[in-house]
Amino acid sequence: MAACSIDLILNAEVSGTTSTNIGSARVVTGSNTTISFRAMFGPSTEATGAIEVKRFTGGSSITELTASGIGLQDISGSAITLPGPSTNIYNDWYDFYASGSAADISTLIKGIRIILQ
Amino acid sequence: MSNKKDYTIETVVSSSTEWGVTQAPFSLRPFSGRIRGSCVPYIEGPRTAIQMGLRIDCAEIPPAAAQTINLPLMASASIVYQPTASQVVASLGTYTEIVSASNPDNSTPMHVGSMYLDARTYTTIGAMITDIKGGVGGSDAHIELKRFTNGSTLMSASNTSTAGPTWEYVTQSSVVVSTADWYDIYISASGNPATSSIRGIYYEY
Repeated sequence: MAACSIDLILNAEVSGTTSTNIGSARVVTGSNTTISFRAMFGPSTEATGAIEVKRFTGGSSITELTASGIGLQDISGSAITLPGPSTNIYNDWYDFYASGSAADISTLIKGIRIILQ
Repeated sequence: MSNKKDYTIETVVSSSTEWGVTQAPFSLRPFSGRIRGSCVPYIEGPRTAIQMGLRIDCAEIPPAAAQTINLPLMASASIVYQPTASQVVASLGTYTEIVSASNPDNSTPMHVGSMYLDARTYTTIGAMITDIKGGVGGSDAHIELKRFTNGSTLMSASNTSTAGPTWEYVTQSSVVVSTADWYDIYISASGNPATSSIRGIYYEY
């Protein structure tokens, strides 16, 4: 599969520190060799918001994006190497979990981009 | 060397005698004379081309018939570009989107979103669903796609192992969309109480 990106539009809000599933997307990694994630999100007050990406199968953590400060930010994660062309073993659902660094804050998530290369 | 009459040399002479098969010298005569026959190459030496059996037909050689020409190589001093056959790979079209919604209304379907589908056969259409009631689930959860225009069901799939709750990727294969249209996504459950829930949707063709 050629390099491509998948844009997921969200309007989610997670209160407190409990990691909460905000949605899932099925990604066919095909013969791509790296995957990376980029998101528009952030805490409503001075704090840190986080988005964790997990594979549905096995629940392993893939990466985590963090946004510190106030308000929405464009946060890009580093590229993650996939097993290699033609393996396709990373074809799976990817679950997105959001949380904040304090109990009294809200983390807002407006969009997630998945980049395959 | 060409076989055209491009070697004919004519001269106006008052008197000449052509020396038979001898190409030179020749005698001057009161008419133009050819120093040798046409359609033969001029041969240096005592023997003529005719003597050497080199006369050929003066008819022009027609151009070569059309041929199938292989793709030429484009080459520079150090690089040769050789055309190669490309492997044709069928492309896979996929689509996924987060659909994060829950329906606490038991078996009553709830509209959780819509997507526009082109008319084609979809290899797979599926979703991630379960029953999350009480954090334990247990009731079958269903997804159904209905055409917006007339409410007809396009596909449906169920998670029948929701205890836990257990999320499951449920699918229907070879879904034929005859008419491009908006298709509404509904989720529901079989039991009561139950809260059907969906996290995302996916299709490929």
